[in-house]
Amino acid sequence: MSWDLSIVIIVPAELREKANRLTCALGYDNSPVPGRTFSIPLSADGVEPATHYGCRTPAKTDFVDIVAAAGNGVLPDWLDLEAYGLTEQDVAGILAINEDGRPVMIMDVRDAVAMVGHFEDVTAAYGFLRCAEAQE
Amino acid sequence: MNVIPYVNRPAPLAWDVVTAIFGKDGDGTLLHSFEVGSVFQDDAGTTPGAPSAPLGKIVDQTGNGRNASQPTLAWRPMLMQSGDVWYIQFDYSNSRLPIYLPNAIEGDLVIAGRKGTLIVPVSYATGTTLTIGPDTYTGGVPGILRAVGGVVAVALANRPLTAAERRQVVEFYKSKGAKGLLVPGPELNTGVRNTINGDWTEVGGVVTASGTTANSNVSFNLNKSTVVGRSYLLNIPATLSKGTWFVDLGPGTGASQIGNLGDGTLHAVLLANNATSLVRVGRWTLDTAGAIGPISIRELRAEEDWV
Repeated sequence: MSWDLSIVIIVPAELREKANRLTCALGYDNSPVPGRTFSIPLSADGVEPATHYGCRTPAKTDFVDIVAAAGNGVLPDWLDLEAYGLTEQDVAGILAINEDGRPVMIMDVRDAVAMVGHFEDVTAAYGFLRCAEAQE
Repeated sequence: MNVIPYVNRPAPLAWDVVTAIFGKDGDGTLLHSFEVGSVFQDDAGTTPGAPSAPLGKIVDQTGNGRNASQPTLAWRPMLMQSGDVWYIQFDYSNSRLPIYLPNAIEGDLVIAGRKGTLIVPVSYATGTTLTIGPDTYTGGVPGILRAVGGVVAVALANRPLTAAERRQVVEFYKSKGAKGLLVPGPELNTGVRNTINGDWTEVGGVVTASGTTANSNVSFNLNKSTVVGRSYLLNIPATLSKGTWFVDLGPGTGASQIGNLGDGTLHAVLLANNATSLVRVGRWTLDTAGAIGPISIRELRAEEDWV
């Protein structure tokens, strides 16, 4: 399976750590737990504090399949949430639908060849600006 | 007898000559996208690199052990292949390659790219992590990687390169698919008046805001339109009482933008998304006093592209 996809994901700031832990649990982040995948701080006016955090990542189609299945309450058998300080309810919270009918987690999928500019396009479409990002 | 004029242009270097330039002091680094066996998809270095796959690790060719590895998938750039040319494509959003430097560095950093090559003096303290990406290098001008394009190689020397070595290095990486040195062109902001918005006022080419109202930006009209896909180097003296600046190239939606620029001179490289004569500089934190200007904007191109 090839790396055909570019995916932008944005989560509310209060779910950032859980979303980061989930990427570690899924094997997408080998940095020390809780991970750092969602690293780009965002807000409506670019002024801190960030209301959301985002990332852009290369992905294979199996990632989209995992998210789709998780949205229906089906998680991979091999996923050890407890080892990463998560519960199934945490995952459900990340994938939940808001009262206004919109997903809590924004996710946008493109062909990998269009990865440059993908993050900027999605943040602009949802009305976000980058806040100052802490240096690594 | 026929006389064959001598052209003072060094031949492409052999691989071992490049390693001699960057490896002889023990602190140099050579990261080559094109070295089969030195690039990997994962940070552990177990899955060989492949075209159009994430780049998780790249092994330093000097033998000094200054490898770059990226444990976070979302932060990995992509390894790309175009014909015989290999390069590293950053997304300019969050992909980056960190290189740990156990010793202090006072020397030159080379980033050889598909659109141009950068050779810049750098100074890093002991224990610094030199990061290439998302759109610049540690201590570099924001956005500069967009002007470099896909990265063919990154090289670091713990001393300034001689003029001869610079030419040799550029020629070597050109033989691997990079372009020549990035060179700024003539000044494009040649005296066209500024468009003042709201509480901004202009005196002697410097635009200031009292900070008592909420108008966040001021626009500058250039007398020459930008070209889509080309890179522009902006240098703008600016002071701000609090918060940070942003710089736009182009109008509103669709503008190329760099934000979170601090005080002092705002250095940024922006890739033109459209043909425009508009530069906007503004403050994101409203109701703050600030001053901008005069601005400088120059196109960046590889030296051979100016001929």
